[in-house]
Amino acid sequence: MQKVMKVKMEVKVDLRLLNIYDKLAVKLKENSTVRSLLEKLISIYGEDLKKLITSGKKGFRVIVITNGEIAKFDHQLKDKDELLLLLPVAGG
Amino acid sequence: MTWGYWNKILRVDLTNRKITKEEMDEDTCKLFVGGAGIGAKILWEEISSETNPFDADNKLIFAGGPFQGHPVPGSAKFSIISKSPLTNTYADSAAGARWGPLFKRAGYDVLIIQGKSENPVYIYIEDDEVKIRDARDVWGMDSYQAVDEIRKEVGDRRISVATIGQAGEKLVKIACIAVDKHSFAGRCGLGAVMGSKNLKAVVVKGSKEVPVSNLSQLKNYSGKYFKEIKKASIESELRPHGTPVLCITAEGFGDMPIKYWTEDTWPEGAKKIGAPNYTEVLSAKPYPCLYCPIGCHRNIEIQSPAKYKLKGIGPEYETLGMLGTNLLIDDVKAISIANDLCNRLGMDTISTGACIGLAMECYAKGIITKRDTAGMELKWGDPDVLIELVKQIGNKVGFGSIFSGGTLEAAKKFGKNALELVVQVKGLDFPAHDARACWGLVPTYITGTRGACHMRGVEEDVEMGGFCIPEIGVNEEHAKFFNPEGKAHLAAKMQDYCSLINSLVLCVFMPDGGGLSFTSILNIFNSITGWDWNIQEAMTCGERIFTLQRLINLRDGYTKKDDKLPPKMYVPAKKGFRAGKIPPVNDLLNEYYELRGWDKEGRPTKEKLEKLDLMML
Repeated sequence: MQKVMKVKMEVKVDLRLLNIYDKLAVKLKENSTVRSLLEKLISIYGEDLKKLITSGKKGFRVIVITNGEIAKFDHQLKDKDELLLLLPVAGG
Repeated sequence: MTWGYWNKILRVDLTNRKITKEEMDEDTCKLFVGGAGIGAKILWEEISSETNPFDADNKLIFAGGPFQGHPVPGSAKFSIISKSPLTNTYADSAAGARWGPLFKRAGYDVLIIQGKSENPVYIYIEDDEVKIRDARDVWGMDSYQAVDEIRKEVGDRRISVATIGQAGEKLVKIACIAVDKHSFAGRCGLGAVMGSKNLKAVVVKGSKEVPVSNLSQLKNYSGKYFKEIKKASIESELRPHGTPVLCITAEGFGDMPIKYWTEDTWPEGAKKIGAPNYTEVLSAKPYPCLYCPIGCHRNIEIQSPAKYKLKGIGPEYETLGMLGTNLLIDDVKAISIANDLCNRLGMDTISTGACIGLAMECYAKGIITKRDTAGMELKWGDPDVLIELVKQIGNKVGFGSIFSGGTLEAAKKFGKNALELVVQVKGLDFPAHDARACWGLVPTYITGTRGACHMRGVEEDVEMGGFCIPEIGVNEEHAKFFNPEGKAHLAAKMQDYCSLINSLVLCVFMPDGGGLSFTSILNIFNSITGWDWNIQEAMTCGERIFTLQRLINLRDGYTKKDDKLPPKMYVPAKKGFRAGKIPPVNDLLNEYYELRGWDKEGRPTKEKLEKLDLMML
């Protein structure tokens, strides 16, 4: 029998770095972290997103803003959190 | 002799057509390194607060540093230093292409131009041969035509040409100096200083090799770092997309100017003009300066529509911000045409965007009307208005001629409350980075020795997570938005670091985007000079240079009351990432003065000057 994930919360993600401007609703398990959200997004969007937001040596290289604050990758998400993903930039 | 230097200053007096070669002692090299540092020392010693920027007495200084002359990555840069007609005080502006290395190979460290020629001339430097040549045939040409014409006249494509366009000739105070149709010393109106001397161009060609302390070590480091920087810049996307890669992130952080700093967000606009859309729509490719592993400049090609047909240099982030989102224009092809016009006419795209933004805002608020603009409707977002105003400002004709003195002078003429709308510090318009988003920019802008400038600190890249310098404690901890803690410290450190970089002279994108560490920079420096400097010695040198520039600002009459942000920076955003957030400006400034060892009026103390070996000046 297929195991069905029990949905405990839903967050909204702004994925403008993939040219997606409508906020995407993502369902997550309880106690999910920013890292688990990013892994879930990679499972949805595949290599295109993985290439953008990860770097061989450093793991994730994306900046995740949760409710207006930069969040660490082990930050625990809450139901109805709003997230914005941006790439760190240099060369200004 | 000093390894890495010729110990030679070339002085050209255009009034009496006298050319002299002077010695530059080793102490000067050690204390001020080169570029902006040595330029500041010469400006301190040779002009006064009484000197008008357009006087024959003003000096126009072109300076390389120890990094020029060998294939060191990022060494195509050179500095141009003078008293700015826009800010009336110290200014330096840098460009790349090939001029810096070729000038160094001609056998000089510094060129000082003084006086004023009776007729238009250009200076030709080829090793020991230095000539003042007639430029009446090229006067009136744009900066691209002038390069082509001078190359034809000299009969050698290997020369490098730093020239002005029509804006510089007409003393437009936002005129730039254009190099080889490729790179531009944009800020502070130094093209107008060149125009005031009736000097159209400075042409260089060199064949000498400057002796260095350890050539084989220098070659090893240069080769190794070239590969590492190229790899890092591919990862940071600076190589594949150039600076347009910043747009989406900068807008997301509320860092990008929107509607001349009065709106807060415009993701759709940033998406249309920034990478990756930019790269695709404009068929953009890297166009590197000499010895550059990154190639942040873009070569673009537009086939259609016919009115925007273009092949050449594309706009960079600053231009996309100031001629794009700043004016609510999201047509990247139209922005490319306006950018091309600015380059040809020889104008700083940042200040040009500020002028047009101010005009559009004043028009929308009824401060100016169609009667002032000769019937032109200055609508936000209209690319035709952008292109027309660029032409008018650069050629100093029509309504646009009101901006020939920059935004502050124009606002004074507009009257009413126009002055309060101008977004500048010490007369220099903000670049496309909002100090309300990146708070490290607050002290950097307000104490900036050439006015509001992000390149004299690059804190925005630290705060946006793309740049760290662990050797001086600039790390991920500083990438915290809306937290004033540590931001004054960050600003002071980064100003000193950038002052050193601008004196070496090294392109700041080698570390910032290319990942070149401070330790690696010193490895190159020590291979060249043999001085064996450590990080602390290098940072002290940076602080000395920055402090000397500050002393020139103070001598020119600037005081604490000028260390301030414009009124719009006190208006919080209503939406977006920085909604409701305003930096504590006075607290940051006071903390900054204290960290610097300056008194409460922002003057370096005697003890500080002694510590920095500046008392002898």
